[in-house]
Amino acid sequence: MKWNDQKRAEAIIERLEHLPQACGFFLRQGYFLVSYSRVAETVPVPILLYERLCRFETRTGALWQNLQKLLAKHFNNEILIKDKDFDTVTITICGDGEVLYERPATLHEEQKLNINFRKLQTPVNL
Amino acid sequence: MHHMTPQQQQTWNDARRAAFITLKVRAKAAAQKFFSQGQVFDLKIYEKTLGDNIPSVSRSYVIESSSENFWTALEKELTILFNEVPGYAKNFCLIPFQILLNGRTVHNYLPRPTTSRNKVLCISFSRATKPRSL
Repeated sequence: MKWNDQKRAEAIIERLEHLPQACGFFLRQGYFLVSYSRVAETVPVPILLYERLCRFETRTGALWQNLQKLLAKHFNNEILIKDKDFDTVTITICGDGEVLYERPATLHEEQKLNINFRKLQTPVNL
Repeated sequence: MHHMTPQQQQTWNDARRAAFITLKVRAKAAAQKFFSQGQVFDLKIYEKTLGDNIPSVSRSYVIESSSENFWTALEKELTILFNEVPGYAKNFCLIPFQILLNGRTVHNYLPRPTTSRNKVLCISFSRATKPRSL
């Protein structure tokens, strides 16, 4: 398959939306942080590529669509091709550090792209 | 409270600390822009020592009310936060303190006499990224 950012996002959401653990994580409205990190065996600490504060405001129907758009946009804007080459990079998606989904590299695994969603305390309104 | 200094006010409590800090911050021109409606910010109260920052309390806020209501709400919130800070760390008569706005010191107070110049109580307001809504 010839990958582009839209297809990458679609591939992830297609798997994610059917995972009960993912539904449990994403269906709670509130603030969360999405981050992309490069994990390589040769480097002891993951390298943070990008992170963004988000807020779920929608109901379930639109959630996955919105999340897909978000992933595609972040892939497009922030992540270098070497970190998002789905043929050579294993993709891991985590919710609060727990692995929700892993998509192994189809060619040879050189490194991982870790997409982590972390729930944050909702800010107090003043 | 307007003309009060920490030394003149010997009977500090959390509400008075909160009122004092709110007054000082509100008087700064930079605060008008920083504390505008819709902004998200983090408030931290911590002790700064020579080698370390010891976090005490930290919370995130989103400004949803109009200006006048906001300052009242902030004062109430500071009272709650000060209540969580250990007593020795908020002795305004003896411990120097700083108010920081986005990392920049906007108010610096060094009590005389002071117990230590190596320890400073910091009240820090820092702007957080606006969340992307999904």
